[in-house]
Amino acid sequence: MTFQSPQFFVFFPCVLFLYFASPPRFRNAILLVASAVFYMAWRPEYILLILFLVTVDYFVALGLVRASGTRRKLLLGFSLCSNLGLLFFYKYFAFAADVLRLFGGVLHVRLELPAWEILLPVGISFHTFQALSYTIDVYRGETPPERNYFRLALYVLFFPQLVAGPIERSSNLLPQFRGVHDFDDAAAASGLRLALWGLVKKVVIADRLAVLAEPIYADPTHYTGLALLAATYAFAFQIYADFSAYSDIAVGVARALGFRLMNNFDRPYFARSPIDFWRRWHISLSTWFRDYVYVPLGGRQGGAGVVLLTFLLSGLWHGAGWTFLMWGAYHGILVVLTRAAGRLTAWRPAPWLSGLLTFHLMLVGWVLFRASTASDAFYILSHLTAGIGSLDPFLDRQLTWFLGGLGVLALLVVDLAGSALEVRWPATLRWAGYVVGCLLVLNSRMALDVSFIYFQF
Amino acid sequence: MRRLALRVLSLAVLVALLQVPIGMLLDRAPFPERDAVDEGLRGTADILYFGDSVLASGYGSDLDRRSIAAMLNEQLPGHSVTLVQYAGYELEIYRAFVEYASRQPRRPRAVIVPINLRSLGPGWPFSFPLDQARLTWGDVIGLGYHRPRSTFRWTPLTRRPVPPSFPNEADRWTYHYVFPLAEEHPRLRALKDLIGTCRKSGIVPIVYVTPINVAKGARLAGSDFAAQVAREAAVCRAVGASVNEEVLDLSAFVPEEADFEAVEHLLERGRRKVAGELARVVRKKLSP
Repeated sequence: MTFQSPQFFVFFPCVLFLYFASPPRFRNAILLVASAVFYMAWRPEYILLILFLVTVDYFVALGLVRASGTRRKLLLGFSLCSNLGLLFFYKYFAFAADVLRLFGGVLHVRLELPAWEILLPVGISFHTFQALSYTIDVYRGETPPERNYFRLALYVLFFPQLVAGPIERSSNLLPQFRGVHDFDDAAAASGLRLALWGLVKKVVIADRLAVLAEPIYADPTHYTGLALLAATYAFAFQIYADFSAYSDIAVGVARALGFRLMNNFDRPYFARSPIDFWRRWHISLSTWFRDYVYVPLGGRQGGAGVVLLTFLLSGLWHGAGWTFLMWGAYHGILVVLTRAAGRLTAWRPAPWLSGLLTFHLMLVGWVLFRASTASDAFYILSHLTAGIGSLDPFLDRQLTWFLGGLGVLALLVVDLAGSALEVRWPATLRWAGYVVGCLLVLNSRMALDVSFIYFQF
Repeated sequence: MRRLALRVLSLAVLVALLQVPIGMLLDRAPFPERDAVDEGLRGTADILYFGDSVLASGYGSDLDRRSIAAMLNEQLPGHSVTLVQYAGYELEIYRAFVEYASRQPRRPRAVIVPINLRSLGPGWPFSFPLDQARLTWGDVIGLGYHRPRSTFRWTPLTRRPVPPSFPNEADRWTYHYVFPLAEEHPRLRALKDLIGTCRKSGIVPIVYVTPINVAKGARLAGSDFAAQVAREAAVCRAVGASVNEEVLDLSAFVPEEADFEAVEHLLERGRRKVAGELARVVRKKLSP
């Protein structure tokens, strides 16, 4: 089930009603069952994987409290191996086999590795990392172990953020399942407003931009110059609208139920440096890597190597492929260079200039992220500025480009206005906004059936 | 909670009301095929003849450039045949048309429903969800709510798959005509529904498999081509038989390669032959 599917529009009101109409002691059970239904609507059997991880992490966390010394490390190691082992098997096995075959070829060794066709469980990278953070936090003594198995299961399975985040921390989410949530009219209305804005971003803006970027990126060697550049701009805003839409809907839906999820985006395209960008983009993942990889490896004292390794792992988290590794390495290098530049020179460009420069550095990264193969990425990068090229992609879809441009403008204006929009608007204006938002979503039929981009991770 | 529920409900009602004029504004287009049915049933038409581009006419050196429907009209004195034809039409839209016709104050006595075997294969990207919606619910609901339905994927998107390219004509023929066909095919299920609607409404269904240039197919795609086409036609016949209705197999009814324009479009002599056969069946089925 996805947030923009018709089933969800029946599912969510039912959950909301049942949740608040039930006595408080049954509410977590309702959420747990609802979350299981939400996930099982896709592939029912894959819920067993999540339950396996929950079970492992539940007992490991309880064991961590009683154990000491090497036994604690062994328990943590067991949890890490179970979580990451499953992730590796489902997500990275094929890629690892490819890499081994490649190295085998270089060494003239023929490696017979199985080529399994494995369907990636949706959201596996998200819920694995969320589960891992719980065990690590318990190991560090930063969070107490959860003694209620079902509460821990709900922490991992909580449907608003199960499939594509935000990757919540146990210290934020688990305590919320212990409390009683009374229905708060204002919070629910604000949550639904945010969810509606998320839907507009996904259905009206992101999916329209996808129609522009997809055909060009599907076969980039047929294009050159302006078409490649425009498709790359379109993708940059598509992925932002798409992913931040999911986060908005997740946060909004959770808020309506009385839960606070962390903010995942903070106007990333207004960042003034690559380091600043990573403070604003997919914040729940960036902070996860900061707290569980970068800092334990030495943090600032670890130097450029640690930064590069962290970003390489972040790239790999996104996808098992060379382009994602290149994307991670590229961002690692950018961050290292930004830091070095900060030390070497006191000169700071004007905010608008640093913002523009940062955005275009990110744009290069999106080419690596979006291209199907490394050779496609190199082709696109080397032909981005190769003259005007054919104007057919624009002439064929003039209205879509125009509407896509309007969508991008709306996205930027809302980001720019920021908290200024959070004032209490007159009722007429608010209602006009809701009606227009709903009508835009309802009438934005697109030829491409585009799932949320981050579902693949 | 009640207050919020009321507000959300009010919003839903307001949006639903506003959606109708917006949908009608965005998707309003002439619907000459439905107009043809209306006009025919208001007038003297007692037979509706559905069809895709196979029913088109006027090729090359044809002297008589009339359609099969016009030829049929000539051969059936006392009857009036109305042609309801559009390129790409298939059994699902015919089902919607028959249901529409069955709801009219004056119903047709018979409907003629051709099955183009190619429309049951992989290379038929056409579907008509908007036309179906307009026939089923009328313009206010059909047009008004079509976009939301397709936004949420309740109706198929009119998304045309990229046609595969074929190195030679033989492969193209094989692709379009040689495929496994099962009685559970959605379009064959539509045929069953259509026959059911006819029964309930007292309309006589006359269903036939359209002629194919089997001779050319066999020449290009191998000797098994004719047998394969016959197997597919047999599946259609079996579907008809399952609801006690005869499906006429005309797939090999026009044996001469020269009687075809391209794959299954008929030249004058072929059209005349099919019209003759259909006239015979109509006379038999509609005789008192």
